[in-house]
Amino acid sequence: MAEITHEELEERMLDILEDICEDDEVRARRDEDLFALGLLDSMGAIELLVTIEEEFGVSIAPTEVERDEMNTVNLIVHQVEIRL
Amino acid sequence: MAGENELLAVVERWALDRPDAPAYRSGDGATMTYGELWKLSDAIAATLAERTGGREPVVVLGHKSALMAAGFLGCLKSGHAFVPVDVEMPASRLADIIGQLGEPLLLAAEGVPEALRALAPDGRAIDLRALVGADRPEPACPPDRSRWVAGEETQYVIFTSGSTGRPKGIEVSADNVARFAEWVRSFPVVADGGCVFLDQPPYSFDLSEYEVAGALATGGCLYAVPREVAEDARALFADLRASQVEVWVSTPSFADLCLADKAFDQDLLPDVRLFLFCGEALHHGTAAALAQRFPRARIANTYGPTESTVAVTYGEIGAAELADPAPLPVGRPRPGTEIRIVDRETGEPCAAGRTGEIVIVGDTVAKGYFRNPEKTAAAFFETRLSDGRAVRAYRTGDAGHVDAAGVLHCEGRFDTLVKVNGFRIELEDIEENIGALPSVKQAAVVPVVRRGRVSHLKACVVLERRARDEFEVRQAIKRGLAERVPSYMVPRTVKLLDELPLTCNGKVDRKALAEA
Repeated sequence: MAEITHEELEERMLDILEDICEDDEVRARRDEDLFALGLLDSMGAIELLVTIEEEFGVSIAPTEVERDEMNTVNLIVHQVEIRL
Repeated sequence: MAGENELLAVVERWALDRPDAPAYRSGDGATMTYGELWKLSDAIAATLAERTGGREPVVVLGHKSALMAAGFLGCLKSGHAFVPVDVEMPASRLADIIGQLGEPLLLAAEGVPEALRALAPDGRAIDLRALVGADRPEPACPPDRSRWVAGEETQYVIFTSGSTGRPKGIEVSADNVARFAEWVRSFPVVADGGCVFLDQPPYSFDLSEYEVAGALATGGCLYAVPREVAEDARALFADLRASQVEVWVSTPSFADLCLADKAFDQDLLPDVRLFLFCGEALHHGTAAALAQRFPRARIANTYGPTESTVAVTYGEIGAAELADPAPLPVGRPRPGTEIRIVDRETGEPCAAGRTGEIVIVGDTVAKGYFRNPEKTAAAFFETRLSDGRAVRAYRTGDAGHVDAAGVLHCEGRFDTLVKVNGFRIELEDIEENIGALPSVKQAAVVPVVRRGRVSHLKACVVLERRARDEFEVRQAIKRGLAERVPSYMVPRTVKLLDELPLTCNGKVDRKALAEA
């Protein structure tokens, strides 16, 4: 896969999250807990992991990360970034 | 048959023959043997008998614990139907159920949340934990077995989503459960007896009757996985690894959640020999992944609404079914059940192979809706099986057809009932409850389909007047709704609209909303 910049990754992730959460509020609240905001639930989280694998070829097992390591937009971007 | 409850009779036999065999186990090390389960349910029955001589239903409130199972048996022994209610049920919803039941006694298997406490004033609420502690009272004599719930009496009442915005009770008889359990005992693997069953769905969801009736009727053991474990992937996998589960019972959605982790395979659960699914459509992707990761296990798809006691068809999914791209079949009816496919409008039988409404005829069709003769008459009727036996029949509202081999295929709903993660939800139920929130003028709820299945619900809401902070209003709607309905009924997304789009017939255009 071609190199992707942090900004590009962030932008694509926002698109993905906007689609999964069906809410553009994700753009404004990048450090807020998406579960606490009610924008993600356990099934939504699985959908996110599947989409991340499809889009970036990055596989993250649900048992690999604690929920509080991957519950905000910025943390999700970070988790993908360190695996690229 | 009067005077005999087959479930109690079989548990009694295990308690006498193998008192030390485990009946209930969970990851935190708690176990309860058949002997203990029997004794505790005696104590519960005695306590109930001291409070009332009647035979009215009793609410059993809690989540996953051996006390719940003992509570169910204790109710049956003292002549009461049990009404399983999960402790997550919002207070207003439980208040509605309690109101419908009259002034029921309530057995609590765990601390009753503050919000629920007012609903069962002292004297009506019995803390089951007090019956197992070191300072428990000397047990009184349990009621005589002539008191047992039996025959056509109601074994349990399960409350489910109702289209009026209020929960609707479904009354299942002792004989219904006995006939259902007799069938489950004949399943492969289960028939071997003494199996460990995954016990994950809440008891308020009748899918759990699969493992409760299946395990207890065969001397097996329930392996309880509480919600807080199931929702934390790491904790769940550690728990499953130690479970020795042999019969897996869940919704397909729960299996999907597990399959998302590649570690979910035969190494994690080397003892699993049967996957039993019910509650919603089983998709190819789920079954194919399971077949690949658990080559030693059988995968069974089953179908049935609560109104016909958990499930009435069984079909294994093998290579042939997986090779066919058509939606997976749900199998053939159990002995004692006949499936009729009828025209939804006229009620006339459809030609062989044609799609129509699925009508379930047989000896596990429930008694009807609790204290609701109107709704009962609209969905249930008396008829005969082809051998002449008089039984009840239930119009499911599900669409389907029976193929030339006699296998049933489900094809969705005729109405607005949806399944989300296996939970049955009347969209109108949510709409009514959103409509009752302050500042809401109108609401419509639609299922959002992703990857060919219902992924979540979306609420489209029109406010009385425009909101200043839209995000806050949407959050407030979710919070307000969570106080009125169980969390699985709260839509993941709330959209604010100026008006709801209408079809040319003047009805809310649900299709347009789903795509909006």
